[in-house]
Amino acid sequence: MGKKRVLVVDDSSLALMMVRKIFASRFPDWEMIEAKNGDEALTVVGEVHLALLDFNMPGMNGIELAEKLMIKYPGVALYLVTANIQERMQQKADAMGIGFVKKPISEHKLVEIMG
Amino acid sequence: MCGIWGGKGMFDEETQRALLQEFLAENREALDRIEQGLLQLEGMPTNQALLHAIFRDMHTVKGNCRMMAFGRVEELTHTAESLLDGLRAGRMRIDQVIGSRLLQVLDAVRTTLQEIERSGTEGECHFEPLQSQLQRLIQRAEVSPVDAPAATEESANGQGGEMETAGGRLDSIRLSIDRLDALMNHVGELGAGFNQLKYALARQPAQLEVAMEGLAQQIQSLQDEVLRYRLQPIGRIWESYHRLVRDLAVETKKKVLLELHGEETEVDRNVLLVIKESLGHLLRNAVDHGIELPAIRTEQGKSPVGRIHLSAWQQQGQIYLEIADDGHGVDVQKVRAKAVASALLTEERAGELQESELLRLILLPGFSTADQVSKISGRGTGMDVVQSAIEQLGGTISISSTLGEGTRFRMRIPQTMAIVPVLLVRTWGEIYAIPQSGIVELVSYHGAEVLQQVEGKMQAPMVRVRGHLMPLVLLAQVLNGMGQTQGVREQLRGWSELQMVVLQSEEQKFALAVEAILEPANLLIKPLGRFFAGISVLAGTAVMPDGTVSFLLNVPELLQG
Repeated sequence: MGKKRVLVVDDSSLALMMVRKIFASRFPDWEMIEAKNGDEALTVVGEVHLALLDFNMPGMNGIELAEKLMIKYPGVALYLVTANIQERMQQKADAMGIGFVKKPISEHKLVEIMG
Repeated sequence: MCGIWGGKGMFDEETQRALLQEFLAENREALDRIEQGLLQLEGMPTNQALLHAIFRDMHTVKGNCRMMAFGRVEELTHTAESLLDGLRAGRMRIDQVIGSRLLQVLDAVRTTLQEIERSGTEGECHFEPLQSQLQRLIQRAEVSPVDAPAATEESANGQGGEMETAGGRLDSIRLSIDRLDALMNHVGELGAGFNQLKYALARQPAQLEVAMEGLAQQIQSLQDEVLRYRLQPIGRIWESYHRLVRDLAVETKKKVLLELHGEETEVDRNVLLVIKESLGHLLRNAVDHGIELPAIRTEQGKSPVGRIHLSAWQQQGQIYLEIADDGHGVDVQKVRAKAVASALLTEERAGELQESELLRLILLPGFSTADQVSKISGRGTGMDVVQSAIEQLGGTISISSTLGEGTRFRMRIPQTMAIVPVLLVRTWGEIYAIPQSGIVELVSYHGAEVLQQVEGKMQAPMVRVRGHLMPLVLLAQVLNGMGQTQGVREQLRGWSELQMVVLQSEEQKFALAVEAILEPANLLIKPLGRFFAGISVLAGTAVMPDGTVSFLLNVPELLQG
């Protein structure tokens, strides 16, 4: 088996950089693939085991992207990462079986979701 | 450097430096784009794409500040983001004041970024004045004319208890002083109008008509204003549905996306109270029986996520509500079999009924085709409650379903009270009102023309209008259900003229023949009483200028008859 792969989609390059650093230091057996928006994320080739998605992005939003990823990777663990946790948004994600992580993402939070 | 890095000591020094460089560079780019955007926005204040882009950039800056734990800039950009959200949602419109405040935010953030670059801290930020100016702009837009229902008392009228149990505080409103002043103004104008009328009566009979007209207009606008206070956006009762759908989805292990359209549709308060439960019930039903399990959906080539669209819109003085799911639909054959098995219908009758009529059977008490009765729904209770709630409001409900593709419930509810521009017509000596919004034109044929222009068989009479053939509906026939054994041409043989109102119903035009076309009027429409609620061709009662009551016709249903 090769490395496990995580797809991180965020239009902020700072956010991507931060997650990249955390993975590099804390989860070196994971390969991280980055995308700046939904369209880019959908061009990714190969298996994905975990996906962390920003909600507010140009083009499709995190929930729209999540649905497309569910079809592309049945069984992928999906998390919506956003700063504005409106209750309504959380309920929407919950109803679709998507996890929720409050921004900013931290080592601690990543450890929590990755078990 | 207290707490600059969200997790203290999370990264080594080199990483921290790299992150800070990225932070500064990305934020500066975003600020530049926001500035350009704001300047462009002055020329096109409602450009949605631009507003969204500016909002997103501000959101990114805010998120970055939070990530790096620069709390004060985060707070400032958060407030700016809220203001932009208001612009984006149309709650306010950008003007010079808002524009300059936002530009000030950019300057303040830029200065702080310089400080961060120099010292690694935010330094001394004096954002408070700007912060409160932004807050004031936001609050100004949030004070809506008719705002949230009062949180304190329930109304003490006879129906109070009933409404309380319905769970809403929708039975009282809080009126802003502005609105109250507007009402006072209307009343003042009425007084002035009355004085003019009195003066004209006593001294200047020539001015009588003008004074009357003025007074009529004032009464009309007062009436409109008061009626508007009764209305509330339907989105207010929809808020709780996200939670409902979420809980059901988790419980049934399904994936569901609830999409709302037309949340701003204004509906009378009483209507909201009555339909809240019904819509909830239909939603429950859609998740439980409509949407399939993710694995089954995927097998059928559908998205694992089921969709439920809840929509509301207004058309011709009627409120339309629709709940559509993309689940597996209702099996009409099963409904048919069940109806026969439970002796609801004879085999013969069940064979005759059309699909839409068979589907209506699921609204009957105790009728359910769910193979397994679940905790959530499926005992067949509830759907009949939906039906009676809608009927109580003088509305109708229709169901359509395609096996494998989904089910759609559409409800039509008359707006409780509204002033509707109508055309008055006469048939069988009675006066009826037709909403002007559905009227395309008025046409009449005389003498021999009548029979020349009408053709078609007994079942489907057609009339030619400007070279186009369209269905001809005789109002007398619709209202009386009489003469159906007789062909329309036979009926028309004795007519010396044919007066028709050409109407547009959804996609189709048709001609409605009446005895006489009278005059246009603006009438106060009230819902039908219980006696008439089941008659689908009637949409409401209209109070006539002389105080008598007539009926408002429901245009789309006339064609169905």
